[in-house]
Amino acid sequence: MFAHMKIYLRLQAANLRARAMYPLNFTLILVSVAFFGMTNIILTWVLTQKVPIIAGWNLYQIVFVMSLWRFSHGFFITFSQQIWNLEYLVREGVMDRFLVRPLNPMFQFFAMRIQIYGFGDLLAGIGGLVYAAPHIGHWNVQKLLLLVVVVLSGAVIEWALMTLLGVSAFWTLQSGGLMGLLDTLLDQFSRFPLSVYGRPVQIVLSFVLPISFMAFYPSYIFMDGMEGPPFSSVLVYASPAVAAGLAWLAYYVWRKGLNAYQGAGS
Amino acid sequence: MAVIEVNHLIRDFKIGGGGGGSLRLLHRLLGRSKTLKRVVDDISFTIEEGDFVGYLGPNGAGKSTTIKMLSGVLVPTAGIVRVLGLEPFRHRKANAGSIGVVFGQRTQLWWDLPLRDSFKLLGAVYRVEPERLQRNIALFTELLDMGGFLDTPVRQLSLGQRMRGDIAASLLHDPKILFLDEPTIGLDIVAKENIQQFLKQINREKKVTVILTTHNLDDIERLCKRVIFIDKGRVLFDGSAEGMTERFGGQRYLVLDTEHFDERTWDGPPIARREDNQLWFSIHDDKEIASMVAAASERVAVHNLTVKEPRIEDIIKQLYALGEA
Repeated sequence: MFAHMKIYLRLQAANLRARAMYPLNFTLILVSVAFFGMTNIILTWVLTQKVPIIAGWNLYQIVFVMSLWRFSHGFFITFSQQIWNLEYLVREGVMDRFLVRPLNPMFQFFAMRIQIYGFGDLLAGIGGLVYAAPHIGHWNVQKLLLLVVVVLSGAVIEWALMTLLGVSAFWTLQSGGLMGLLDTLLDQFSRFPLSVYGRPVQIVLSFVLPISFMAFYPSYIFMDGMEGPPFSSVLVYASPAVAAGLAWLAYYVWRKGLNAYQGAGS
Repeated sequence: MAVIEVNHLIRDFKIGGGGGGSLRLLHRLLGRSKTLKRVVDDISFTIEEGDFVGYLGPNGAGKSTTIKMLSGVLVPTAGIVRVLGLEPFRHRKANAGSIGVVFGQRTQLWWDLPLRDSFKLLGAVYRVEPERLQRNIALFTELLDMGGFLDTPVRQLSLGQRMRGDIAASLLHDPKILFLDEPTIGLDIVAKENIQQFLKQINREKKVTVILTTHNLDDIERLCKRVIFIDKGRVLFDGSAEGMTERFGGQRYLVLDTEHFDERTWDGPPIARREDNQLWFSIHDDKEIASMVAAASERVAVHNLTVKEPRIEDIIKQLYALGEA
């Protein structure tokens, strides 16, 4: 474990050095990603000037949920955006390289690069959280710790869902389409709380593609004076469990995919 | 001691088939109409410690697939592969620690970083002790003449420099076996000779067993003590490089450039091959040469005379042709 951490840090230090070779790219993309995150907040602000309460949510609450999602998303992008490259790496045979090294292939795959552009999402996320948090409820140390758990769970959920789709590249050599679909869903449905949508959408986003556990459900922990969420108030605390379950499933399917790639038992 | 044992090895691949056009896409979507192609078809061989083996064959013969099964990337469909006593895909990590692999057409170096950084990162990945790593880097830098570009980003290296870097990178953890998949492809003669010299040296001095696939015939002539030739997934020849020459191309020829040759009236020594006015006679014994020349010049005008030694290139061609048949 410790050895892996050390290797990971060394690889990422190398990545940063490599990225720094293209400073203009780096700066521009960072700024544009952060700006994109901010525009969502500004859009919400404009909207709530006309419609102050949307499905029982005010501006600060909406910005809080949205930013909570974006903050988790920032961690996902930073540490596991690599999953988008899986189909390419499989097609190009780069996976072969990972398989002839004495390290876990999944570790090598995700350690291959961190995506610093995720810093832009982190920046936008933390900005929105700081802006909204004081207006939505009381804060204490416990809640802050819970917030950390929620953010990490959210990142793990997105990682697991994306990995589950991305791994299909091992069989089909093509996973970009599926992942693009999920990405669009995430982008669309992270802008407003789940409550504004109809039942069918709520069911899908809670129990089929459980992306509502990234931010929507856990946000109730931090908001005072809200009515309970759809379905059950137990769901408010379910994020870590959902994250753990999905992570296990993602790793299981990854192993299956890698076996298929190697041609075991086929 | 046998370091590699391959026994009745078979590997199938699923190939997407089906009709053309949009129907094919539909078939693919549904995962139907896949046919099995046998890429490695019952291959067996044993490789001893310290061997230097040329693993040859035309494109698509199954060379890379075999190498991938030996290195633990692919799982055999049937048959046994053992590397240092272990089945590579079952003990992938243990196997990875004791082999080095160079996929000639794909680098394992970090593209944007200096060569030296890649070496250090790989040292960490393979958990090589710092002193040993330093020693190996210094040694390979000297032998492969990499001093001039050790601190240059890999993307700025020439193909020959990059390949030297890749070969050094695959040896940093002192593997017992080195697999090289076309290490000299596209290289100029200087880089090629440098690499050949180096491989010879580490094979001799570090006792590294080397298995090399190549289309470069001088790699075989200069390096390989043993040749395994495969085509369509089957072994066509397995033996020493000299043995291959003897068996498939041991024939020497007397070649005469002539004029006024007429096949119908020819009653001289039997002609093995004819290319326009060039006549080829098989030499079985050097003593025949003089009498053959005499007999031939009585019948036709001889302008030129050469003795063709067997060339490995011709042998390979012959073997390729054999595979086609």
